Amino acid sequence: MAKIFHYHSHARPFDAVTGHMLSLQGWLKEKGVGGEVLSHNIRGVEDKVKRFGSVEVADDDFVFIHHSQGNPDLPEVLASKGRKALVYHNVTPPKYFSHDAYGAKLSKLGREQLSLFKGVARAFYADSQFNAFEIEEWGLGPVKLLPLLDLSALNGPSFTPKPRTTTKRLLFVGRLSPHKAQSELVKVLYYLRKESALDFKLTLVGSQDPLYGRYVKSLAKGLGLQTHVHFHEKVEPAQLQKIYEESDAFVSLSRHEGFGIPLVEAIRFGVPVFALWRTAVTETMGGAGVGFLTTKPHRVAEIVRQALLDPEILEAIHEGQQERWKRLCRSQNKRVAQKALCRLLKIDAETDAETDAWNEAT
Amino acid sequence: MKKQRDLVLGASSALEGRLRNRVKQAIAQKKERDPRLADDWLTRLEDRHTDFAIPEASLFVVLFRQFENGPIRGLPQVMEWLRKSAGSLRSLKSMVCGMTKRSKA
Repeated sequence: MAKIFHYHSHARPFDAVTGHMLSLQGWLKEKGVGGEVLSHNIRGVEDKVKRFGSVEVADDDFVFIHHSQGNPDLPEVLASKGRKALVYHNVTPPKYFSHDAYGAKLSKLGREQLSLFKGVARAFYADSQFNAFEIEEWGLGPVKLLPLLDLSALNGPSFTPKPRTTTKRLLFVGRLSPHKAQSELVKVLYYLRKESALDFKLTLVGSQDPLYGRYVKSLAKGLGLQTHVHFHEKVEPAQLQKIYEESDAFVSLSRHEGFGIPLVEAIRFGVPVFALWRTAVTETMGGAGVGFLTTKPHRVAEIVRQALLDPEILEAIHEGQQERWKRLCRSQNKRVAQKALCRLLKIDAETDAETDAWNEAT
Repeated sequence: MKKQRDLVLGASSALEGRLRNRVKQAIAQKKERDPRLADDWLTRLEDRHTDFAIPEASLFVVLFRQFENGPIRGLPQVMEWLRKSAGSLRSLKSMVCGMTKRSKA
């Protein structure tokens, strides 16, 4: 039986693409399909990921190339043995790297390299409709959607009303980088704390772009907020769960998301989500939570403040997010991936009505 | 001209209307008290930039310019210059003034 290998230019712990490759490998293993996770640059996951070239790949095996940034090694991977498939996770556009020449170069390269898949890849996958549209614009396809997560085994959101306290904790999870716009959240916090009896705090979880990270910290200091903004660079899953559970709102002004896993995590842990409806955020939220149609910090602050003070609005947000969770569980489900990939390998997959629910659910 | 909406609350259109009205009223009241509301954070920064130590202030000015006013051409060279000349009060002052003018433009 043919195997399915997964490849990404780099592999790291807590990295969404690495996590996706390992999940797919595990889900396929349950169906008796073998294959390894491969990379050229491995750090911190050497026990799970093998170096590209160190493992024998047969001509009829599949190599799923996960693409999220420019990769100078891509031509070598495309020319190697095995049938190829593209899994597109989105390449952040170069305009968000004006402070980082190397990042801008990789971003530009990443988009240009999509043309290399034309005529080479046998199948195309994306983890959101937004990402699917992007690669279709490059003339690639037909594109199928592949779940990033398996929510089926997880407990759904439980909404225990938080005790009424004067402290309100806002949270954002994602790398500190210009397109995630954490500096805007610091300004939102500034307006929330101004003229308010409530003690608003902001927690930012994520690794840091060196320059932008310094800017966000400096901005917080300049606005007199240094003791009210908390930064966590790396957190273990249990600590992250605790941070979610202690938060009163997940607030995002991110300008670019290919999917937005933290949005799903916030829904899961019962945290009301307030997010700018841009790129894939609208699709991931599916109408749940509060969508911002503005990026003006003083307006965003007022929306968050008014919503958090109104128990009826909070309840409506919770109900909407609960509904969204149910729909996400039907699409973000390992059986959807198993069926799609087994079909690719021409294996008779078990018929499961749930697995056909992707389009309906998204 | 129809004003653009600021928010969507998909779960309930009635509650969305209520939230939107409350936000609108709160902002109108605040603007009445302080017409500079939207630029308030910037004013605050301009008032407080002297709180920073000199090298830190220089860096902040450059980063502010980069991330708030648009990209600085040759940012790596600016960073290198900062590294070498941090502490020059005169150059810092001129940069702060430049930043302030551009920010208000």
